[in-house]
Amino acid sequence: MEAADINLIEACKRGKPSAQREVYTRFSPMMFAVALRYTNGRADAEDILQESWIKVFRHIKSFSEHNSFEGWLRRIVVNTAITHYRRNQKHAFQLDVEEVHATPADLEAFKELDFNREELATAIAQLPKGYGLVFNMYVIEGYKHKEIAEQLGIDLNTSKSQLSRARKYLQGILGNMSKRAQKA
Amino acid sequence: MKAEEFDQYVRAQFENEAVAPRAEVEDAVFASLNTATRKRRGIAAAAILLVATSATALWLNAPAPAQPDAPAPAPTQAVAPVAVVPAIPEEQPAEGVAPVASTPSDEPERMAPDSKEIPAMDEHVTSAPVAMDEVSSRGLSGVELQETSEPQLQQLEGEKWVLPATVEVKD
Repeated sequence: MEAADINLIEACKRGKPSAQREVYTRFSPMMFAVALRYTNGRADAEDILQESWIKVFRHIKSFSEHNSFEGWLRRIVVNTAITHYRRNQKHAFQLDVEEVHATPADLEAFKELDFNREELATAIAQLPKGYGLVFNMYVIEGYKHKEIAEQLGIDLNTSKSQLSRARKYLQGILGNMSKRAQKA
Repeated sequence: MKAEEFDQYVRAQFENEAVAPRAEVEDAVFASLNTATRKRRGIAAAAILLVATSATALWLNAPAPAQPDAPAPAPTQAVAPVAVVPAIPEEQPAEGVAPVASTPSDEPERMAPDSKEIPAMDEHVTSAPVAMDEVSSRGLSGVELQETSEPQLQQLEGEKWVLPATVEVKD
């Protein structure tokens, strides 16, 4: 971390408003993009972003400069999104424990992937919510299955099976998108 | 394509992703922060006030601390008679002049106690007015009584007075 960033964070720890504004301006687009992946729309993502920033400034004194500030921010957004998701769940948070693996045939279909970020984001957004959570956390944020299990309050094997299902589901969506594109 | 490759491909697509939120979100964030800060400060101030009030109330209602090891002090403390001996060594008392006890005078401008100088004495006196001893007139040794044009002093000889009294000896 650069000295200027450390100074900026130190100023935020002292509650300096101009430093808080600067940190917000710099990191909000990244945080909002993360929030968007965990929600169905911009309104929910904005709620998550707002809640996340309040947590950031409230707990910034606990942040150590030895760690990645961006990584710390991303984790806060993900945790807030999970809390938000659970709060909005009308039914209990249940994940199917059935083990389903993507077959070699499914994966063989993609010799070469040619999707941009928007197309992938659209496909991920179509995943069932439980799948999407695990896929986002494992593949994009880099969480381990143990961490995912703890965060979501599920079994370790459940996390693994959800990831396998999510991959298969996503590849199916991408396959359909690819076919439509070829027809057009 | 292996699962790991697929994951890597997806992860790479989302590196450095950024989507600007609406400007209203920033206002909402900092408005919430200000509200939260004000609320926290209000709670802290209320807590401090509560603690201060409680401490004051406890202090006012607390009985005097007992001291079992120390000898119990007398409930009242008699004021010992204090002879005022001004240090004027080079002057000798004039012969033929009766010694004059340090007595309060009727003159208010001279003997009015200065509250700034004798606060402690006031406390002693007012706390034990009954236990005070009568004080006989005592001579002032080493004091040269100067001729004074105040006949009242002379007339007071032989009378008995009771302390408290303060005598200021000035050069």
